[in-house]
Amino acid sequence: MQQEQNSVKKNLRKELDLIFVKNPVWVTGLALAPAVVGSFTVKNGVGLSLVFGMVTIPVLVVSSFLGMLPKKVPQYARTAICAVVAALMLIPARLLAGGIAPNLFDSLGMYFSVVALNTVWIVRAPLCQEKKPQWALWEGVCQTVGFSICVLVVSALREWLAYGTFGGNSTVLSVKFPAVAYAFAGFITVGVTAAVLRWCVDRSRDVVASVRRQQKKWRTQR
Amino acid sequence: MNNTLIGIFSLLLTALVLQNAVFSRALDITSLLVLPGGRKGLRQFGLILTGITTAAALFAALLNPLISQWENVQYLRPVVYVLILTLLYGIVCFLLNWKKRDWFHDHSMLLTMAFFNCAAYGAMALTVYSGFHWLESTVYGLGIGLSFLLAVFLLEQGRRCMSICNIPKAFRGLPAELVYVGLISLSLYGLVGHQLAA
Amino acid sequence: MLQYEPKAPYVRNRDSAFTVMMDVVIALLPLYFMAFYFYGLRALMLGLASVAAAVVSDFVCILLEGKKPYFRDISSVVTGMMLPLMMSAATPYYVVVSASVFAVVFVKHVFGGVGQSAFNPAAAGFAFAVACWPVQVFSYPAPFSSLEPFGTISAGLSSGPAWNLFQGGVPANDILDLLLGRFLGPMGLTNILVLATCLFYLLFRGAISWQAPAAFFGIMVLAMLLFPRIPESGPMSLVYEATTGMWVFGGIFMLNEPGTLPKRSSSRLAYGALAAVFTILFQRFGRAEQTFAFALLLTNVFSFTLDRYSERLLRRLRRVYLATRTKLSEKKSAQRA
Repeated sequence: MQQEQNSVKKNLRKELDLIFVKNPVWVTGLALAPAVVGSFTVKNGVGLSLVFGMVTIPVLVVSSFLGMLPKKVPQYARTAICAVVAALMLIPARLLAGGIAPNLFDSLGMYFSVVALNTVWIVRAPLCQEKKPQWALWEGVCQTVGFSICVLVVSALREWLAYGTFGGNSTVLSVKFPAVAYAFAGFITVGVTAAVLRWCVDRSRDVVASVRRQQKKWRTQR
Repeated sequence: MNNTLIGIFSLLLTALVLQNAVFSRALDITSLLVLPGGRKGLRQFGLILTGITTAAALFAALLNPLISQWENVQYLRPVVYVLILTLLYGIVCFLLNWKKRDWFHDHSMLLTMAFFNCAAYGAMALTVYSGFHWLESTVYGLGIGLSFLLAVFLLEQGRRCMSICNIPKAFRGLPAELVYVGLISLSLYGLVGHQLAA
Repeated sequence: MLQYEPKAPYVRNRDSAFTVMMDVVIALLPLYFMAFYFYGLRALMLGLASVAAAVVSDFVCILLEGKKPYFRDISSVVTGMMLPLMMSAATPYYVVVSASVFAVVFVKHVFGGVGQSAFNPAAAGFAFAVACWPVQVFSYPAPFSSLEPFGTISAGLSSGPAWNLFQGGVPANDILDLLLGRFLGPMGLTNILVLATCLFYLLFRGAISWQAPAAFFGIMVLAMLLFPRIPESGPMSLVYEATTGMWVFGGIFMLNEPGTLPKRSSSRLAYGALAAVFTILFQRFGRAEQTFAFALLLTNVFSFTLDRYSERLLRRLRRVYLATRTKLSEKKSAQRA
């Protein structure tokens, strides 16, 4: 019982790492296209996060169920089924996004639909076939949270610098950098924020390691 | 005939340089930066992707007159594009699994990433958006694939250069490569300006 | 890599990087003097602001990296001095400061600092400024108009002869005015005679090598003589292009940036030629009136490759030469026998 609880905690922590330590965009470099080009306003970021979640979570869960199929069914057939599910999930995603912000689809253009072919589910779906559905669901949620945090941070930064607004509301910024909304600035912004995340993760690891060393020292002194 | 050839050549150059799929639209940037297998793997992937983008663009152009007549086509068009890719993927995998099983098992992940790819989807969406006929769509799709190969070549040079630089620890790997790609994209901005449609 | 035998004198300078950078700074000073002559104190203040921004951001980045500042590294001063010269004298301060910070932080320090950048920082900073604020960068005041050193400019601004060339038209300026720099243009690039003097100074001092500029200017001049982009004769087109374009300044100061220039002589020739080809293509098909910076960024990508391929080519040529020489000597000895 204790062992089971420990393994559940371990799995939970492992998937929570997907949010920062193994962030799908900043660390693993997956689903970069929408994060780089589409995320130049906060509204776009919210729209991308929404469609990413609505596509990736069902695909990973379905993939987990596909793992229960007999081994005779080839891997490419399972991948094709995942792709069909991803494509079909675009319809409710489009309807929901249209309800929230009517201009969202025009603003994002083809990048709204490109999220259906994001590399996160392409890479993770075969691995989720060996997981239980609840863990595949938990991984989908964590991947979505990780992607959303990245896209929202990048889009907030770019909107503020390019237009001087945040979520459409004007802020105090005397100098605007309009080119930050273009593709080249998207690459640089994602790269710099990835470096900042890496630096923060390394620092936090150093802090945790030094705290543990200090605790061990106190224990041995006692 | 001469005008057609010139038009095709200029369309190819446009897709290759002016509207480079990687540097101007960030399509398939993940495969470029993250795909395992080294330089050889990337080049193989690029060649496979070129074939897929060409075929996908051609299919999209041929099916567009049919799809345009449907109701609620704006909701169904992306689904149809992904289904076209899925169908092509299924057929190619079935044939390769039957005829060249060993090669297929070694390169199955490569094929999956090549088919379910932003660049392949982008080839279809952009050719339909631009209103190209079947020949122009084929050439544009070919150009998108070749633009990926050009990006592979340019990034290879960058990686060699960065391997001997004393890059700060936080920027080593993906962050520095993203900034590198961003600066190449900035250089191509001088040709394109900010007139690219998504 | 092949190793070169060093030639005497074996120790030229104690701090060669500092000496080279100092020579470039000295070469840029006459351009600032001409800018002050045409546009007043504002030209100098823009230069100061740009240099200060570059030096401060350089200092901050070095501290963040945990390194000790090395005060003899004046590459950021060179970058800061170059940027305002490529822009209008009426450019707002935030434009030059942002361009400097972008050049030093994102182009120099991301790739490891001085001498390790994959791209020319000044070119990238200028390209960023053009992408963000094209109107502010390309709107010029008339020479000798009184410009306020700070705050908004009251003098009228308009586009220069470079814009006419970009549109395919012939500039209406007098040839003498063009040669003396008395026309609307970037504050440091209009005086071709001063630029030529700077080139000779840098070559004489050995601060720049001759190969890249020779190939670059050779091909640019040929292209302008043989394929003018305006309805004028080749020589006239060359005069218009050389006096109004950024490529002369770029070919002297930016092409020879030590970090991005190839190391071998043969690759420097190829680098200069490639830069010229890209400059011509960007001029013909580009979206801005001054596109040299964008062309240079693309040329920088091939710098490393040119060194590698020229070494391979030279090795092959050497093998062919040795094989031919061996065959010839064998034939001779066979004939004697």
